[in-house]
Amino acid sequence: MLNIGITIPGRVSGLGGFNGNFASLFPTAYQVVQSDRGLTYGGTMLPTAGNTSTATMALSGTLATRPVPIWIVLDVSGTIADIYYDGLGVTPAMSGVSVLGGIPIALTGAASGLTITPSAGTLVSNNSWKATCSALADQSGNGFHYTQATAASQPVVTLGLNGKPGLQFTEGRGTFLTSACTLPAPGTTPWMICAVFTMVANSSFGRIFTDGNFMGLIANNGTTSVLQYGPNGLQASAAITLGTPVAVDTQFSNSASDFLKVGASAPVTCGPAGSAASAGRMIGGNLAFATVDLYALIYVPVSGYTAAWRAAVANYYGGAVSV
Amino acid sequence: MTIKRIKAASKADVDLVNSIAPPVRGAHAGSGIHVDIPADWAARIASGEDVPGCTYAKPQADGSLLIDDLVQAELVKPGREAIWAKVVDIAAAAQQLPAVDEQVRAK
Repeated sequence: MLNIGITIPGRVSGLGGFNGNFASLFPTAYQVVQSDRGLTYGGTMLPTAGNTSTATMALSGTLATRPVPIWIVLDVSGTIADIYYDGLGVTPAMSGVSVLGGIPIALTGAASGLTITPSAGTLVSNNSWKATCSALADQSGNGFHYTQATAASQPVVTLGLNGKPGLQFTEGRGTFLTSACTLPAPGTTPWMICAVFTMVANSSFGRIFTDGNFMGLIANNGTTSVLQYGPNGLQASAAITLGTPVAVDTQFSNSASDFLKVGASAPVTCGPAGSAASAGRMIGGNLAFATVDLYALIYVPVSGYTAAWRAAVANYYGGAVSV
Repeated sequence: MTIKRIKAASKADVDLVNSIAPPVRGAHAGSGIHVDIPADWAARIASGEDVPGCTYAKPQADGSLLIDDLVQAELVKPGREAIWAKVVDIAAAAQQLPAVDEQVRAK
């Protein structure tokens, strides 16, 4: 028998209708965000470590295509720059660009539609700035968007996986995004966190996905692992490998049958973590901050969970994620 | 760049910082749902409204305001001693964690 595969552009066949939007797999989700959809760049680019210029770099416009990391790097003269979209600073997308206060620089190529406008002020040789994220929109339709108004606390847009950008949260800068997403007390209505992220570095109880303090997933202290944290305190931890993207599923129902599954590892039984409603959700921290690269985050009632999402993750990110 | 905090920032402090480093509109990218940035975003921020997607001075959960080098250089000028007296570095502010976090810190 002859099998003929048909691929519809923009769709991944055989994965429950997954169309690149994880909301399509979780129609009852409370919230769905992913770094390659509904991203808003911060209006002010982040001066990188050691930057002593007094000039700032405004980023404006609209990018119709998938977000890319954007770096502007001055050369030794301080008046000429290279612009990178590779997230590495290796291969410039634009070279030899004049940088003058108040003169807009129209970006080309993968960032066409955006403009960098330097402010007045000093420009110091070899200084650089990176594009950040000021908002990540909820794709569930519930309107629980993540935002961060403060430039210094906005995560940096990174190269990501398989052509999808990531968002880099950093303990040292205290980066985080907040949303007004409400979640029920899990002892009443059990729910799950499904996420794709990379633990870049360990951090002492850095909050990864929480209500600002608990009811979520945090980094452990000392050992490289993650754990549930709720009103009942810290639960059993699950090992995580630094630098390896993983899909994580963890269930909150305030019972001893809860679990935490990291990547391809067997689920770790944990709980009961306690039961408290969430009147808001945060990525990255508050109190203690995490150093992670985020790709996707879903909050869904247990009744709406589908294990098929892990296969979709494996496909969507080109096999780069441990599922 | 060295980020510092204004402790217990008042509305006047926030307005001053926003006048030194004016709010800017974010730039949408990619497909899917996006946050709504209204056309009158600047006026709304000036009136104290929260406008998702924009970048501007907004107090943190603890009431402090993060400020970068550019703002610090303006606040240190004569006549602004009162607000400059409230500026601390991040490490000093971070030591004031709420009691609810003690369980984790003691682990």
